[in-house]
Amino acid sequence: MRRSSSLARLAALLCLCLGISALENLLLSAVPIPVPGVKLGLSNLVILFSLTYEKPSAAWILMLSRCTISALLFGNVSTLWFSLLGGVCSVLVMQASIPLTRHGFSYFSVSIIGSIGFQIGQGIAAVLLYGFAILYWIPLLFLCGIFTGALLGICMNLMDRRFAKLKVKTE
Amino acid sequence: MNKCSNSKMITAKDLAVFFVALVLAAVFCVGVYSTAFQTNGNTVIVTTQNETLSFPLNENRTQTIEDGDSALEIQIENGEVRVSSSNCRGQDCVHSPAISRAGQVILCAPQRILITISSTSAPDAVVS
Repeated sequence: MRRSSSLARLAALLCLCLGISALENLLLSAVPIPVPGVKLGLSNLVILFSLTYEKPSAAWILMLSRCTISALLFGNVSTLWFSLLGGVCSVLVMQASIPLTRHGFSYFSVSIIGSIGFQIGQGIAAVLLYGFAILYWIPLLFLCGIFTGALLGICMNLMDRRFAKLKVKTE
Repeated sequence: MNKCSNSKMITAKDLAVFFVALVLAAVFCVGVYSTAFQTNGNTVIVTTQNETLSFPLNENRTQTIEDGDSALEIQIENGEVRVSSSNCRGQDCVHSPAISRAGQVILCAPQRILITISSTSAPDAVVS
């Protein structure tokens, strides 16, 4: 019963991730950003949520599934490498920095660190695919990533406050 | 269970993380963009999955790049190059600003087409 409940929650979170990715793609096509690769990364909010409220393995499954399905639906092989390497680095550093929330930091910091991790992973993918010429965009992506990470961190803090009030039962 | 029991607000430590990251990123940006990419280029190099094409930057022209299913049109005008149209889904390359200095890059990730500016004395192979 407990196992099937976890599975159902994971499936719901994956659907949420994909829905948010689709919405973000729509937003990006409506409001073009002159820096390629800059995204709000709203689906990262769901992954941070699952890192906090579910087991870390759930966050990993969610990230890997989201990257693969999202690339199949909205992208292609090269965008898969960007999101996969970015996602792996992001979840890795967020998982490592979650304990900071017990030492005076909030999810705001965790999200910024995760966003920086994502940019580093994305940068590695870009260099592997296109060579060092592509590093031209990295400083700007890094700067934008801090702002998007901060924004998602504020959202996560607000969500956490709501969930604390609801006393949601978790894993 | 990873849940942190206390509801979270932005703390002073968070703001410190934010500003330290912001200052580092800003220094990184200023350091890179104020020192590199200052030389005016003279060649546009387009790298697709199968070939590399070069065009002089000082000749105004519109060039279609086709590589399998990929198709992209670049416009070279007044010493600058930009992507005027592309059949990719994201259109990030079309929205990218025009580039003119050596080392600057426009990337069309979905089509794996990279447009760079070089300051070599003469193009290796001019496609007309």
